[in-house]
Amino acid sequence: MPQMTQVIGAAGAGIGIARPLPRRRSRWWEWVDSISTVGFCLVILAGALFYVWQHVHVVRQGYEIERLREEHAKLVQENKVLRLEAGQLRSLRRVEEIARTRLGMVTPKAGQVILIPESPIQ
Amino acid sequence: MRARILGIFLVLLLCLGAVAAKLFTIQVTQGDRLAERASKQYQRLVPIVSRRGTIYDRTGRELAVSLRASSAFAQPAAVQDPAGAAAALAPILGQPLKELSAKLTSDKPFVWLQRQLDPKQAAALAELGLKGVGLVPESRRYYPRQELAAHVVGMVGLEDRGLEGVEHLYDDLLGGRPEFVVAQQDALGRLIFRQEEPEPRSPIFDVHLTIDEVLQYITERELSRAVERSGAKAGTAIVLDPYSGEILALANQPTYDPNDYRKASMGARRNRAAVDYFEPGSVFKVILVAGALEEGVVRPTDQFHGENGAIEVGGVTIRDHEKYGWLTVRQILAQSSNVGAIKIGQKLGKSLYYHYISGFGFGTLTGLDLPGETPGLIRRPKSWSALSLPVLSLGQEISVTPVQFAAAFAAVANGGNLIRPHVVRALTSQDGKLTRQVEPVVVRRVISPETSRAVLEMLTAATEEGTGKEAVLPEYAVAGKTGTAQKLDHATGKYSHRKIVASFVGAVPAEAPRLVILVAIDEPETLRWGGSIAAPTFREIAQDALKYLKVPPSPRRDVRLVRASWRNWRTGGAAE
Repeated sequence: MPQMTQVIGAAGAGIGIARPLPRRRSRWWEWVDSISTVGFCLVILAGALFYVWQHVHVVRQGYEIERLREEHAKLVQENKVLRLEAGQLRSLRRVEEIARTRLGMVTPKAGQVILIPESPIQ
Repeated sequence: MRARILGIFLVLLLCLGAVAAKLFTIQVTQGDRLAERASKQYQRLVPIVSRRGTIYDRTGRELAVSLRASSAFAQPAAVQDPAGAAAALAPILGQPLKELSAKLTSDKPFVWLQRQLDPKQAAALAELGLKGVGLVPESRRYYPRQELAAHVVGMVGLEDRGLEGVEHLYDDLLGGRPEFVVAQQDALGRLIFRQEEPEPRSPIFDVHLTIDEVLQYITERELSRAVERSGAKAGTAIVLDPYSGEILALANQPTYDPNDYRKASMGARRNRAAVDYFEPGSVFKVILVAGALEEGVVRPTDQFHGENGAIEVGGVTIRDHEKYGWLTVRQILAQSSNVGAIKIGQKLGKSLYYHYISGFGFGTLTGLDLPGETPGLIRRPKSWSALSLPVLSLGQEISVTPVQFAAAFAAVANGGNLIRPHVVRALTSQDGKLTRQVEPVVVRRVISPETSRAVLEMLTAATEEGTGKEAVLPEYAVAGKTGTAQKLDHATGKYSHRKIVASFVGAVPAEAPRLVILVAIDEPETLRWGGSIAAPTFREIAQDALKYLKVPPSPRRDVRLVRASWRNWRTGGAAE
């Protein structure tokens, strides 16, 4: 395309000073320009969203960790309580009372239980 | 046009300048203060529940454990209806209405309503949802075996501080101090992040005792029966390994439940085995004879005349319960002759006798790892009167603790070494990395193995032929000595005829002692002799303890036992 010019002044009568008109950008470049602007904004937006998402995700994980921590503590406590109850139920006084009163057991008399010393295997 | 643009520009510049100035004020000038205010809103301190160490018996059974418990508090200013709240709380907490109302209307910003609630109480209180009333997690100590070994284990108070026993002496190692971590919370007060729990300021240990739950139970049961049967004021029984010094059982009557120690009297909480001292009486003749044999001033077969049951020393007549003639040293011990013992003491002399008294550990602490131990009382020879040596030969004018005497008798039983008695055998850190083992400590050699054997033989004869017959076991040989010591009546300053301490101490099996057992019954009303109340108690404890430990019968007894069992099997009865 022939270069367009624009008369911008007159050097004298009949003499014009011309400068070349800025070239009109092609549509393709305009399209690229728009896309890159939008793309840049999207990148910034994505970055911001990711940043926010990270925070939200970390806080959610924090809640979950706390919930699991409480659940763990609760289970440990339950385990300890059950062991305590088992210990109380195994108290020897209780065992002896049950053995004597409910099972009819008695203390063996002398001679009813004979211990034989272990001998080494020949 | 240009002026307009310039004007807009200046306005914008001013606005931005104002914003910048405000930013500077917030960020720089007031930055620290505002950051602190903000952190108070989103940070708070979260208490970590105590991780106090567990106390185990020697086989790993738990004797003391800590569990989470909730404590109820109130912020009176926030309570909307104090009267209504008090009425709702009273049946749950079991407190009088008046007392609760006073707490809820108090001027204080914070009051405890009740510490360390039961889980059911805590759940019921939480369900009420009362404004201004809340729960905070704490730790509560439980003793699942209740009064078993109460005087050894001890108990903790409200702030998880040990008050008595192992809980007190090993308080620093058991740990359990309140600690806090910083946590971040959201607008609703829910926790989001918390600091990792810090390492405890010092390692926390679990404590493993030398006490055996089964032996402890047997000992407590028999001691309780003996005290009840004789109407006694109190009693003590100790079972000890004579070689290592490990205390396998330590029982006192009266006793208490550490879960509810506030209801127990001071007398019940008293560890009489280590804290109380008594005049041992005739059991002390063992120390006299051991010292005399070791010095070679007497032999087991040497004879002394019993003066027909009475001897005058220092202007006082001391009598025997029988009118004896000639007695060997063996017989003096077997019959517990006072006259014979006085003569042996005179032959040994006060200087040497004192040497053996202190050598066996009397008058000094044993080093037992329980609080409150006393060294007993013994005067130095320079303070002795003319009567002191004869009276000391009978085991009076000296005060000893049961633990001291058990340790001294263990020296006779184990070949002559005085060992340090102890109740803790190991400490393990809760992460399993550290272990401290408590090794047996031999304090000193007191007598030779030959003297030890000679004394044990004499004591075996003393048990079978003398005052200790009630301690005889059908399957095991027992080397023991009875004691019946009069107590000093402080009102009259004289020895009482009514108040006595009946005791028996023995090693079993005599030919290779596995256990030393001491029984002391304080002020029995009936069965007022060591041979009639303490010796049978010893027998019952020893019988069950040796069976539990699977100790084979003494060699001379097993043949008789098999014959008796065979005979009884044929006739359909049980061996006696």
